[in-house]
Amino acid sequence: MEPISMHSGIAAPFPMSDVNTDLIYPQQFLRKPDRGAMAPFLFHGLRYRSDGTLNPDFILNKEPYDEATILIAGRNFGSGSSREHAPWALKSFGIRCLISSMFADIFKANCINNGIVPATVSEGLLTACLHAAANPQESRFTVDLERRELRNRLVGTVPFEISDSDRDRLLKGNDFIDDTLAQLPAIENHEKVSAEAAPWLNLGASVE
Amino acid sequence: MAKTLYEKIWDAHVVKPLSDDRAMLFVDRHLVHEGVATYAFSGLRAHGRKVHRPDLTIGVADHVVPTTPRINGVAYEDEDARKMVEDIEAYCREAGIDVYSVGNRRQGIVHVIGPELGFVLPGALLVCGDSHTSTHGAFGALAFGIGISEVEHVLATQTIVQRKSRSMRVNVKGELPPGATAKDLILSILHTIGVSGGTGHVIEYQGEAVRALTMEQRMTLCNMSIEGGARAGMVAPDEKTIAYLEGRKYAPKGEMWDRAVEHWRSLKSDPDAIFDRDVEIAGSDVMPFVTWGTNPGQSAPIGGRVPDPSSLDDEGERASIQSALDYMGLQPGQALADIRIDHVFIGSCTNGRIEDLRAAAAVVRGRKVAEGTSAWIVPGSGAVKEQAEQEGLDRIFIEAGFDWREPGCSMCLAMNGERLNPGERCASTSNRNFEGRQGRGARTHLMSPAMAAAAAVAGHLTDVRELT
Ligand code: SF4
Repeated sequence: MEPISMHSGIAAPFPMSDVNTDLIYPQQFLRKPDRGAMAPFLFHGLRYRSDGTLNPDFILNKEPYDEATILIAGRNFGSGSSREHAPWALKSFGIRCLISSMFADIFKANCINNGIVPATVSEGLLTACLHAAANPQESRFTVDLERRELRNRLVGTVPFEISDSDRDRLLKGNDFIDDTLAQLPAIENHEKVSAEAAPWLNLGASVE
Repeated sequence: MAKTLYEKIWDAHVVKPLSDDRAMLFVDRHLVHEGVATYAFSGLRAHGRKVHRPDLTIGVADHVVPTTPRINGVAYEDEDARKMVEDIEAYCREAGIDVYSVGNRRQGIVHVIGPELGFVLPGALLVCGDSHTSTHGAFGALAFGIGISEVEHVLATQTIVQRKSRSMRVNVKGELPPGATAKDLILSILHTIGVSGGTGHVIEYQGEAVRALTMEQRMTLCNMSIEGGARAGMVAPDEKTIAYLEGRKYAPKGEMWDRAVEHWRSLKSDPDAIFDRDVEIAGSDVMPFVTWGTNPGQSAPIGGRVPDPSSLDDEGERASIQSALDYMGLQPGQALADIRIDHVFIGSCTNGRIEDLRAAAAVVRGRKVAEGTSAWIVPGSGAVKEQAEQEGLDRIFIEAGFDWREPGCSMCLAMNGERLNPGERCASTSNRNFEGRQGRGARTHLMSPAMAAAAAVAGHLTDVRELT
């Protein structure tokens, strides 16, 4: 996973709240094997009309937002299904940062695991960011992960929230499986202790 | 210090405490389905990593398997679907993981067969790359959905790194009135807390009405916790839990069973444990609910009407209801019982178990599916299907004009290609009425099995209690 510390780019305003991952990445494309090539299916039901042509009214189909690398989304973004295809598709479209007032739990974890910054702001700031980005001339944002700040000409320099551990992970971009495997002795120790305390949990699928 | 059930299970699984209120937690039970297996196992292989504890994982094919007859081979939607099923079989075999795929008579939906096999146990920490993993919390386990990168992490390390959630108690007082089901209860809870009301929380369901639920009904309740955004939902184990598990394939046996039961009997939140949030629901207020919108919180009692967005002050709410009505093709103020349907889907990990089929059959018996309506029964597992056939439920459904199908997720998600056409309207016992969920442009109304069966017979949404 490549590290990310500071990112500047066009931010697309997408104010709809409670956007679920079915909407971000519809089910008919869940069988696609290549996680790096999912951009065409991102927001498919919104980006394309039922006859297959581009919907010119959808924000990511309009200039300059068709080149957006930041998405400013309404409250409770990424709810519903755990499908990691949602962040894969966002990333493959080019999105590196998300700004919202609330992210769904599983989706947020999936973003961190794919090097996408979920920046949480207050409702008031979200409205201000959406408003600024709606003007194509003012839609450039900088996300400074190191300082936990957003910068934009209209909004100014404002704080966003992200936990220390999530921030660290994104800054370093290290492989979390390697990190955990470095703790193998602790895992094996737990296995031993728990096999004594609750041996039935240690049985798993090995009993017939 | 007094602890909640969630905190007790959390504490027992900490391999290593981490900064930021996080911990590396040991995973006792891992379910893998074919929708995630290809990605996760190929990632594992690319790094030359091994499955750390194959004995704590089982594999299941459910999401892409067709539910048409399989006697002459399985008619996959496409080669990608076939490959996903072949992959999970091959990867599991290679790693030494038990797999329940097409051809196995116990194959079925991951959250139906996990409990059926006794794979989930009280006090266990269980994960699966699927958000409805919350289902297994019905057994007093801590069970939650994870992403695919995390599935790979669990396979390689048998651990998961989590931040501690806040705790929420949903106390359902009194009794549910006749005709109100666990599905109606969870729909009314979601109506109360909203689709993000549980975000960042683990819910524990308590109260007489919850104690009165059967294990299958508790699964229905916990299943849809995620629709409120909750990380997990759980019910403390009791004698019903123990009776359900006894003798199941992976449940402990003999002396170990006795030890386990003794432990489970004491596994509950301390009486003075403090929850971060408390919600109270009067059981007597629960009645048959249906959704009218495009998220599971947008619902009303069947006797109600489609809301009128123009009557709302909040601009955001007005817009969101208007867009839901546009998608659903509904008029403000329309009576819910007037909504005509094209299709009925009875199945899914929410309501595809034997008690659900019995409830539907009780309504359907001696009646016919309405003209112009098509109706499907998709049993949640091979075991559910067999049991239903032994009880003759299949005959009741078939005689009424239902399609009696093979087990799988089917039209809950339409990932196997079984989907509705644009504009078609479905009375569904599944868990999500999202735009496009049952097919692009398809319209979903969520409800209980009895209500869906009543809709099939009437050809429109209707109050099952009034069916004459
Ligand atoms: S039945 Fe539906 S919700 Fe349940 S696991 Fe299958 S697709 Fe997911």
